[in-house]
Amino acid sequence: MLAVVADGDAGRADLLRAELERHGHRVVLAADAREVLQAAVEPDTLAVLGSHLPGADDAVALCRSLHAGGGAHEPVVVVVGGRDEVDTEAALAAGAADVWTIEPGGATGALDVRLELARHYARLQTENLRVGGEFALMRKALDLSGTGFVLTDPRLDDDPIVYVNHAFLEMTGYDEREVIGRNCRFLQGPSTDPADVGRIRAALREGRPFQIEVVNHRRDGTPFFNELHVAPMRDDQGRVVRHVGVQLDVTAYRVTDSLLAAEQQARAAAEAAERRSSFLAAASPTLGSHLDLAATLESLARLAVPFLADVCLVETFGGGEMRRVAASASRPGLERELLALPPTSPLDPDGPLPLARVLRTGRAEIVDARDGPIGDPAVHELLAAAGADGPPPRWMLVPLRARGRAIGVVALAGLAPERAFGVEELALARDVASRAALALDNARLYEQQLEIAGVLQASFLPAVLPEIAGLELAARYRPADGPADIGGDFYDLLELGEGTVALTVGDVTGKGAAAAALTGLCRHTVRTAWGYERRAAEVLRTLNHALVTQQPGHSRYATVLAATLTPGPGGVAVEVVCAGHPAARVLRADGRVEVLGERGTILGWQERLDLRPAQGLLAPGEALVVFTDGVSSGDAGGPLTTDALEQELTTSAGRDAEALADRLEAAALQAQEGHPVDDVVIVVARAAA
Amino acid sequence: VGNTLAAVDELQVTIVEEPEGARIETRGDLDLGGADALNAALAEVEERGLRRVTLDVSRLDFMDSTGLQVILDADLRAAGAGHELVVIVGDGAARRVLELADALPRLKVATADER
Repeated sequence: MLAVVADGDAGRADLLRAELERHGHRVVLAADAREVLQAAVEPDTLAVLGSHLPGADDAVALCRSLHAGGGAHEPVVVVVGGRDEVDTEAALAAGAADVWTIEPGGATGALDVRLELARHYARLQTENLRVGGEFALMRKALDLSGTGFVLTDPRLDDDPIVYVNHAFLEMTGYDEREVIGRNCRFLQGPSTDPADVGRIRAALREGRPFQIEVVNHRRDGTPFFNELHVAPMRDDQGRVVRHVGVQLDVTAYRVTDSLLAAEQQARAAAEAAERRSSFLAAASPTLGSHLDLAATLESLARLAVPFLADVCLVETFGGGEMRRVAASASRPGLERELLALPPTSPLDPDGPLPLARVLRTGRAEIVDARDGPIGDPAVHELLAAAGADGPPPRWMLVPLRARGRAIGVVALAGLAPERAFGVEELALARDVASRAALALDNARLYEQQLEIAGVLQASFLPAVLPEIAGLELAARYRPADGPADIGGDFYDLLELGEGTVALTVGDVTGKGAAAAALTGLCRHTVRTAWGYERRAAEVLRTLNHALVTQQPGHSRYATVLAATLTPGPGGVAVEVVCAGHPAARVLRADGRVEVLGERGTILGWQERLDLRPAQGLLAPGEALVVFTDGVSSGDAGGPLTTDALEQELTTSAGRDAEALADRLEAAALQAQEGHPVDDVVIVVARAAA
Repeated sequence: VGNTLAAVDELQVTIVEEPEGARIETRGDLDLGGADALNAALAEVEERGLRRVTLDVSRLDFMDSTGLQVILDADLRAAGAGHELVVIVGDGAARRVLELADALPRLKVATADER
């Protein structure tokens, strides 16, 4: 149907023409008021008048003239002007159906023009109904424009449709009788993002107007991009009595080439399910087998090529720059070149580059590479060269969304002439993006956890070992595999004054955060207790008291070995007390291994403890070796049996404390094939030779 | 003959009714994977307000400090609630762990024959 555009602002006239053509209008640009009047003779014309007409004519006056004749075939008139440029009241009084706020000189972008049209349809429709007016006029305008229009009544059960216009039926392929009385959710389908549905529901529940782009499905199952504008309409009591929905089919816009789109939609319905499932089938095992972020992203990029595109880049944004975290291309040479580029490039998040726009709007876009770089100019140059012998490349940009915001973009480029980006490709690209975003977000969480674990773990260990004349000290700590699992082992070495060293090694029962908290409590209680107790047994009693007063039902038991070492003229005097902990070993100068430590009650169970201090003396070159059950539980069980432990120590006789600790750690790890299931703690105190 | 409550991972937990209480039998591995099942069985039996709860860990193939924690917790609850907890220790994995913790002298331990 005919739309006649008359605007003194040539740039704006072009924008309007493009947009109206997209809506299916046949558009004529009029040079003056006379041409508008002549064109409007045709029935059902839409006249779009710039506030400043070409020539000296006044838009409001022309509006009046267009309505002078009256009758059924009067044109629908819209006045267009910049903010504060149009006297809206005067225009409406003169018979204008609407006023569109579009800035002159192309200051308003094409997309904004589109949104402005949709918003005004919705607003005017609401206004019309509010004042109880007929909406026949607007209905005609909306049918003309190819914009779907829906009214629902939230006062009725399930908010059913009470009115749809012709364009809605054409857009969706349904018959009026099939949709009246039903909730709009029949438009949803397999390609609809559940998160979008959630957003729509939330906005409806909260009674606020919203706009969203969703993938809906026509009656025959083909998906289409529906730019949906919904406004609640309230009565005098403020109750929502209608939801006004304006729907634009933006598929053509999304797909760049509408001919391709038509062809594609025909086959997409048949192929969609199969392609999707085969892609996901290919994707799932690959993704499941990688915990490593880089590998995950790389497999994603690889899966997309050449299935979805010729080039796939995964870019994350942060700190004012984009970082290419994965790149893949159908031509090996191009992929090598892409990987050789510096991975980061600055990006102004408020700037005009497409990557910045996708990050801002969180909406997928298809852009023509002829318009310039999407982000990194180096990538643009590479692709321009790669596409030199064919059509210029196109980009499909899909945001990586995590926690409600865009954290990056998956950029897919098509180089081959037969490569088309359609609804189906976009749906699959969204799959890729959501998986990549998930991987990135998980990696971020994992890193955070790792950092917390690291900080906590460090707090379980002394920063430096004390230096005492006549005593060599060495300690090893190796957390159980899975670095994010915070271990339950701790050790401490403290100088008590007068040359005496306090040694504590412990292991709390349980795993995870509760165990970590308990480990922290143990270490700090022990350290404090050594501040005023000189006897190991008393330190253990203090710790036991702290533990038994913990809340029951939580992890609260600990096995601890506490010892004092006092160098003297005859050697180092040692006292060892075990509380549910494996006994220490003494490595004699001749290689004999003796057990030092009597069985004592585990801590945290009962207030009363049975503790039996054991004394010994280390001659020069002899060593006290203390460990947790990640090394040996001190019996026939693992990881090192009592015999294996003894043998390991015997063969290490004569070595210094560091070498002893190294060898024992290596043996303990080897016994667990390099992946300890329990934390490994080893503390060696050796009388200087 | 009792009803098998759960077979989580490799721990099998069975509750057997007894004249003055209930007996919980365990087989397999009592570690992090089995602790929940055993705790659930203990909770179910403890809720009945019986005079005696017997926990048989004599036929476990493996027990680590998680299992120790379950037994010590059960002992503390028994002391708090006023019922008797009897542990059948046997000579297997459970004994080694309970011995190291020096817990045997303080638990009411029964031999397998008294089962």
